Amino acid sequence: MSQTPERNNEGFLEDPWAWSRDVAAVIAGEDGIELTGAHWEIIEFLRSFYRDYQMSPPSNRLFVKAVKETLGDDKGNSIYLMQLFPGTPAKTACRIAGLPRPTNCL
Amino acid sequence: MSVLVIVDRSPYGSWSGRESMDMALSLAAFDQPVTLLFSGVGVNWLRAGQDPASIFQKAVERNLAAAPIFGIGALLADQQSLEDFGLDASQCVTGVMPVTVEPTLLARFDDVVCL
Amino acid sequence: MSESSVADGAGMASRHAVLHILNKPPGHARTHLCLATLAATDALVLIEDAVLALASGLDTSAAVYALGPDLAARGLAADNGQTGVIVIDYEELVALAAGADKTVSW
Repeated sequence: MSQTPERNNEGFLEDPWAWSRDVAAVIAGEDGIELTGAHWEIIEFLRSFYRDYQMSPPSNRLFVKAVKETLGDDKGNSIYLMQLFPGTPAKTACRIAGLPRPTNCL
Repeated sequence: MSVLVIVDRSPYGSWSGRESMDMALSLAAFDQPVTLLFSGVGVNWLRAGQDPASIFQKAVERNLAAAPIFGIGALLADQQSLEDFGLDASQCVTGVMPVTVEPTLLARFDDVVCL
Repeated sequence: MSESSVADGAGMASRHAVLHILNKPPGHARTHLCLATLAATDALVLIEDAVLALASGLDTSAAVYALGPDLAARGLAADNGQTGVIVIDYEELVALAAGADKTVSW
């Protein structure tokens, strides 16, 4: 259970389809994050985003923007996302959700 | 400041079109009104049913579908170019708006970029 | 936008709605795109390979400028079958660009 599928040097899954909820919990644990319902809402959003568009939100700003567009202002703001996914929220959240690394974090 | 970014390079064969996409996304990220215009061979970006997995690339068509979520205002397509490549709007990604490329088109934007 | 004026170059018109700077040869897809969006009140500046359009013919009612050094390099004269073409040097090109409301580099 502490095993995860193959990952790159930054901890992103090589194959987004190898992801599972258990894998998410393991990766989150490495960042000291305990996943709550609020986290899962964003993770599910990213999984569905990837299914639809075959890409990660390319930058942090666009991540925030996409969340805002889908889940509203309360969640689509950088403070909220920063609290859930510290560091660069787009990178942290994509890593946990099993998505590729956002291409250009501006 | 509204910007028109023109994509007139074919998908997959080179990175030029992707660079234009990146530029449009970056403008959108900073809430700058941006519109994409596909013209010439560039309209092939819009064709539905692309499956480039076997050449190890991502479907640009799927990426384009995300454009509205990121705040890219509109996806315009050169009507003549669509016809040249046997496309009509129903065979394109959703939300594509065919336009006639004429002088008044540029007048709607503060800046026009053709990388 | 602040008021700007084109430097008093040799016979240069005052203002153009859009300054189209073209460096592609005749027949190039982008040359077609440039000509398709060229309004009568715009100006077209031919540089590099685009000056060859003076040899093959150009049908526009917009003001046409051509960069002298690029004409000379290709053995072309300004009146190569075209009337009303204004030959400019680099400084005049800069002045035109600085004075334009909008510039498109094709």
